[in-house]
Amino acid sequence: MPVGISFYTFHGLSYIIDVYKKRIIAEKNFVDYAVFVSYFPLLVAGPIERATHLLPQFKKARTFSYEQATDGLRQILWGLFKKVVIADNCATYANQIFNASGEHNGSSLFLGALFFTFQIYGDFSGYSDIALGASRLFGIDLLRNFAFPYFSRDIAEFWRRWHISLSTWFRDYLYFPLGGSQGGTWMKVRNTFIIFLVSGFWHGANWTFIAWGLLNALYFIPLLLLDKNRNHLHIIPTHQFFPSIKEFFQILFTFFLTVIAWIFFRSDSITQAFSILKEIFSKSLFQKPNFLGKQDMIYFIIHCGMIGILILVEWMHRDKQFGLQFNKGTKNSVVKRWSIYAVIIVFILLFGGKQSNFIYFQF
Amino acid sequence: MSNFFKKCFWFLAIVVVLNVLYLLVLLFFSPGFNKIYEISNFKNQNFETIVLGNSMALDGIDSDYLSKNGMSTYNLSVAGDHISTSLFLMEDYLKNNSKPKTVVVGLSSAIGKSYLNPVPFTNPEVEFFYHPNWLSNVTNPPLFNFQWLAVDLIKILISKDHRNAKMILGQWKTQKVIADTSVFKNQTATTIDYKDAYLLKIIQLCESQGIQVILVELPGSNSNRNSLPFQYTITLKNQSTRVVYNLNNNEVSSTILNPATDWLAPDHLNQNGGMKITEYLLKNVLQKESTAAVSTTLQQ
Repeated sequence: MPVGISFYTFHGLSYIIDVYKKRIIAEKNFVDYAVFVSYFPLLVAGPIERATHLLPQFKKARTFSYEQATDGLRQILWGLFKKVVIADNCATYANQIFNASGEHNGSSLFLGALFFTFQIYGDFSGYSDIALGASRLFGIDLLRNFAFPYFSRDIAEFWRRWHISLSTWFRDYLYFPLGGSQGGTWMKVRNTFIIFLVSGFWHGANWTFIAWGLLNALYFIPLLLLDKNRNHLHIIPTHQFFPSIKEFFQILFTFFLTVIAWIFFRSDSITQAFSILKEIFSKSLFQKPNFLGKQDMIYFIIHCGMIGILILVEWMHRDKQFGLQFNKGTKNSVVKRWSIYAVIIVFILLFGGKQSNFIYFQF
Repeated sequence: MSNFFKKCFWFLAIVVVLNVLYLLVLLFFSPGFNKIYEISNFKNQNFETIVLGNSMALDGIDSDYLSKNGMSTYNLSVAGDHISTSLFLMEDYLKNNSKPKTVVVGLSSAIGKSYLNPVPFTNPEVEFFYHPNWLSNVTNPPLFNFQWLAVDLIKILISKDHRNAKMILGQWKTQKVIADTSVFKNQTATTIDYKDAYLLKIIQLCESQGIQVILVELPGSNSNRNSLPFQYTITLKNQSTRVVYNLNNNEVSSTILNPATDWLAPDHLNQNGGMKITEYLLKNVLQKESTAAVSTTLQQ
């Protein structure tokens, strides 16, 4: 399968559909069109851009913006942290557990699912941050792809925050043309199922992806039927550090549902996914994880600490575009900012995991 | 734009400064890193015995005990090492110092093939001190090149046992205890490839200079011991034969070592275990071999 085929197919499709629907005029300048199709930061793993958003930026005369460039570098740094420190380390544990799932007890398998949950987030959102940051160095803004999805209070909010460019693509080019939510309850449910099934299928022709899509549809439908799918349109306000108890449990429950769904995404087959779930929902969930016996605990503790740092930094900056963004217009102490950069560089160099490919390159 | 480039320059400067700081921290606080620095500066040393090996020999052969018992010894073993590095260190030692009487090669069947891996690998610490290379330091900066040493520093920071541990005459001495709870599996086959080319080169290098080479198989945890005799003959790559002293024989090591007190990690002895095994090695191997060597010389 050519690298990134699903991305540039959808990217190109959006242009063709927009021209057909007369939302934009067909591009006459071959160079501009060629740049739109092959713009390097988003070519292999998105975000899936729209011609209406990207093409006009190519036509404008670009001027250097110091703020945009430095913000871009910060975003690249944070993306590197998420990919090299979080995703690559979590990959080691997730691979160990999923590749020998039959040997592990429920608690180990749940740990494996947790590690994969952070691996896929670090890997994909890390790539997106690097792509967005690199593009901002050229003065071009790409669509935001992640908005702290693991802080979502329900699954509808999660899907507004995870792989945003794909979700909105499906919304605009599939859900709305199918009638969206205009045609009564049955139509809404049917369209939602179609969207999630296609979304699963987009990842590959494997039953595990279909099951992952279906499961997310099942999570989503009750909210839709109860008309609660648009309850949480904004992130939890930042005026207080801790969420309320209700919000905390909502986040925890949504996160748990997501972890369960990722098991299907990561498993090699449906049979493996069900046997993992069977073990997780057994008494062995409450045993000591047998996987820990094979680990150097100091590394395990360090890597868990790194996940803790990711959660903390992103939680503190949840109203920003990415984890390392600072408030515009306010003067953050130079020492504070540069100390943070130094610490992140040290983390990346010292605690970077074993090099592995980006997961979404295969899609 | 110029402001942006100025900031980029400062960013790079910070990366460089952080790497230099890390090197200084390692030199001051990492005993292993400091040891390589120390041996790279050895001049005119006259140790009677030199020990070669990887972490099992580094922890397990007590050069201080041997020195106090009349056999001045330095342990040149390096954790995670390949035998090709031992050969290099030995060659360098012989160039700059008096030749020793004996070289003990600590071999390990217990931890697999790392020391005698068919594919040689270099040791980043040895490369850093012996073959300083600016290009390599830029493409592979110290913070990245010596990642595992940072974890050792964290261990030193959080664990009293690690803080109290010391590198004495090249041996890593720690009182940390992790009991060996594994069970002996009565293995009869050896996993050591005695036909390794570097092992032969070490033996040839030493013997060409009249240095006696003693091959020792070091003890592993219960589950990794064997039932091979304490003393047996092996064939090297050039078809010549040598004797190996097998301290990994279950009967021998069980009588010497206490599983509850003598281990710091699987297959790695703490200072109690190291001293016991060295005491046994001195009485049953080194002293006998030394006497035999003297009488051979007298006969000649």
